[in-house]
Amino acid sequence: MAKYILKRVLIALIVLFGITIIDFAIMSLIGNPIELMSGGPKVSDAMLARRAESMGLDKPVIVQYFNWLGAVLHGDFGYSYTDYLPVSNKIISHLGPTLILTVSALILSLIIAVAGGIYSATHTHKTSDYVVVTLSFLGQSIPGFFLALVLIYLFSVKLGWLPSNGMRQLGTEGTGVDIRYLIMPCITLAVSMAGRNIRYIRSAMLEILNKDYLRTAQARGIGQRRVIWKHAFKNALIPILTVIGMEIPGLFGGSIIIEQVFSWPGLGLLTMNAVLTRDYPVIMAVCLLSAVVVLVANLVTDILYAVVDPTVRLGGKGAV
Amino acid sequence: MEESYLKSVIRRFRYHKAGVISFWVVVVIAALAILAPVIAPYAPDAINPEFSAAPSAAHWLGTDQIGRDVLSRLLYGTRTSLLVGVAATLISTVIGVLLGLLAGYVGGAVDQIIMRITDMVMSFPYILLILVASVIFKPGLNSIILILGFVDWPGVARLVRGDVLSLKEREFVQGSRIAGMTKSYIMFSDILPNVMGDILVFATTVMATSILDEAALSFLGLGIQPPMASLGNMLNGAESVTVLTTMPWLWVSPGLLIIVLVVSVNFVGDALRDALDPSSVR
Amino acid sequence: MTEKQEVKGQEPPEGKPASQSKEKQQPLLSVRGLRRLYKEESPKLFARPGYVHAVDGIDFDIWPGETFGLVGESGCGKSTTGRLIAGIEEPTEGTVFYRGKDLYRMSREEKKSIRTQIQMIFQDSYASLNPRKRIYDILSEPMLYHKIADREHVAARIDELLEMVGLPENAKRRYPNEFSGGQRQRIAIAKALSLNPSLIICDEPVSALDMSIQAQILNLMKDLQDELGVSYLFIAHGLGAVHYISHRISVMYLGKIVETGPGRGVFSHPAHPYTKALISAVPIADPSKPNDPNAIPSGEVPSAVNLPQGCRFASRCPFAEDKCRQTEPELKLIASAGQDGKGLTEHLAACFYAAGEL
Repeated sequence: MAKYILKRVLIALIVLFGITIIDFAIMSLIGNPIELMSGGPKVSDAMLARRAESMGLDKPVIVQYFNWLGAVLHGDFGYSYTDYLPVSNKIISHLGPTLILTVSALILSLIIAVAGGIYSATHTHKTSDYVVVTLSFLGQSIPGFFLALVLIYLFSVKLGWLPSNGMRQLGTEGTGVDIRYLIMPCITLAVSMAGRNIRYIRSAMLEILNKDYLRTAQARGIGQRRVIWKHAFKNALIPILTVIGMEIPGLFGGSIIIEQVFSWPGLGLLTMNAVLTRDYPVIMAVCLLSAVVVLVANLVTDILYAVVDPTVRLGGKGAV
Repeated sequence: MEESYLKSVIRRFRYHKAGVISFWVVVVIAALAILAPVIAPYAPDAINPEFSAAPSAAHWLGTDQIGRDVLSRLLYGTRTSLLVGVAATLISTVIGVLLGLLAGYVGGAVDQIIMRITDMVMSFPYILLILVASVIFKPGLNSIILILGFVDWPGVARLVRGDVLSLKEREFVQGSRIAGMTKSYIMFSDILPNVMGDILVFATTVMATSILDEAALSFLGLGIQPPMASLGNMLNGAESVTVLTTMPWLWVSPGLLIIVLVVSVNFVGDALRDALDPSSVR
Repeated sequence: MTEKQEVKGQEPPEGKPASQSKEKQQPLLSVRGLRRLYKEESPKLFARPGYVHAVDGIDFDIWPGETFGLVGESGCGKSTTGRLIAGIEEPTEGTVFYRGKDLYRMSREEKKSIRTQIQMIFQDSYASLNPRKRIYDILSEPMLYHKIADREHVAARIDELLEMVGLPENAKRRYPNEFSGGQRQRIAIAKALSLNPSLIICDEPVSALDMSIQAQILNLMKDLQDELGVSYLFIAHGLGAVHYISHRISVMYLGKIVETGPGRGVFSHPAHPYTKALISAVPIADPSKPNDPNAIPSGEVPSAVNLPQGCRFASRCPFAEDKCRQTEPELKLIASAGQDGKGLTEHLAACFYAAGEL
């Protein structure tokens, strides 16, 4: 077990190292930050050279990379090109709203997917099964931004029930979230995830339900409902774990567009603004951070797999 | 080329009613898109006297803010979106298949390097990678195809690698090794034909996501640039509250078309999966 | 199929291969000290990896036109031996000589020509034919690659091969899934024969087939041997089919050969307790010959990772004594039906009990 974990961690570290190189390479490719920051010919060349020296830009690329890496490891991602604030401060202040949005959407999508998947698996080849499966295809195929527009049109414009912008009323101070602001972005983000996962949970449940011990449990006269919830659900943990592991990498990506449409003041909005204003330090920091989150999520899923299902770590072939 | 196998696949495909309907929906949409120059009532960027007009006999789906016919733009936009979907899928599939074959069959250090690169690409959130790429390259038709093509391959590579690893142990591959056949013969003649089914199914998923991603990028203004029409950038205007509230004809039809197209492609993929793998549950 | 009936047709020749070729004094294949270990990573941190002794130092010769049977339970290393000779695996130690040439130390060109000389037939006849190819392509591609037939003559050659294995000419236009298991095995034999090999490794070629089909395939293989003078290395887990087809038989247990000798000698006068156990597992049609209860092995099979010190069979052997648990017995001559200079008539067993040394 310890050996397996060590191996996975080592691989993750290698991948992370590669990612920092790519990240740095992209940043270097884009251009010299001094020129990008100065923005015009007004600043004298001597000034630029001195500034470049103070930033270490006169050193070889490899030295620059390790300087940058060292700074990043200390949480220093440089300064934003647009408002000269430290990038790390900007990220921290936008992290909360994104976490609230993505975690709530993940939970909602899991509830929908597990409920839908189990319902569908216990009603195979009945009309209701086909309805659930078709709905899951539909959910998977709706572009998030279009669903967002439809929801805004219905609930904000036509019915006036829900606000369509931000995460709490303008002017109100504090850090809390007004739940009414969360509903639409959360649903939008959750629908596509749930759509993707209903069929996965369904087939995983079918496999479990077809296992012999469940049949014997049924034969012994234990009610179907009890069988499903008590025995099958325990075994459904692995597919649920898989679903979470599969969704985390896409979660942040998905939230970028949703945050943009709903003006949700999270990392996605920050990223989108950075993309539009070419604020590279912010973009690169977000890239790196999200890559780390994905790596950690994958690592944790792999390890949890190994804990739940010991054959995973022995049959190393597939895992590597 | 393979009557008996192909016939049995078609027979099983027909059991999947939604798949068959979807197949024809995709065919009709594709035909309309290809024939856009012939059947579109107006040129896609011809400006008509009526601005922001609601649907009428002259303009079945109305006109946009500068007087362009929405139906004509929709036809041309579908053309663009389908082109992006197909081309990006082709690029990513070719890259993914080659790398997957290489990783799976050669193994060892080659496998390790390819799989670690795959991990790296997969670790960047998908949309973020596209956004970063769209910042570096000038937005437009070609760059969006290339970006989507180069972002989508890791999934294909992993799938192919896994298949190759299991096929490698199959007796007919070992038989070819014993007969001294070359590695390239084994990869392309023994293994690849047996992976084609899985690749095809996966390609439908990639195509569906490519269409969605193009729409999202163009919606954000980072994809297809006006005046060229795409299903995504036709929705772009709906970000303004006026368009959203008073001119639903501008954004409802492209949005619905995307959904119909993507749902159909996904159903075709599902039917293909069932048809190619008779043992699958369903 | 009863053993007795089948044997009547052809005397299992004692040290007399069905067809004698010119190279009388040189074996076709010589296996020397062949060893294959697999590393088994321990799941524990910092633990040393263990080694599975799949094949643990074996020697044997196969002569031209001979069928050499290799028998043992699954996991005894018999299939690994076949794969090592076929060249899809490399040995950890030891080597194999083909007509006096070291199989693992030869030039590229030599390797390419040797590849046509040793072919293999597998147990799973479905998995051994590419499901996406027509029989014509399955048979023609290796021949074209090795220039055994050119494009003009390949069709005629395929017809000939199909006729040899008893399949209709139109089979070449069909796909593997259109054939039954026995028919597919015939195609696999045709595929192996297409390169004119002198040795075919048969890894349990009939054990997945029905009894009646088994006899058909075995007879086909015998006929082909008479016709072409090809040698077989016949691998199986039970003695039934092996005894019927083999001139000589070796019995493997946990990576070692424990008994070897002429087919009839090993089958009717087994010396090693393990061989006796294997024979008692063969269904015997004659009711007057009940299974010997003593020969049914009990006890644990030791792991191939942590091998015991003495005889590997001691833990299951009804005759085992202290000596067996301490010293590993070596192959010793039990009986011999004369001298032929090839050792074809020698009957050896690695057992103190059989050698009368207990």
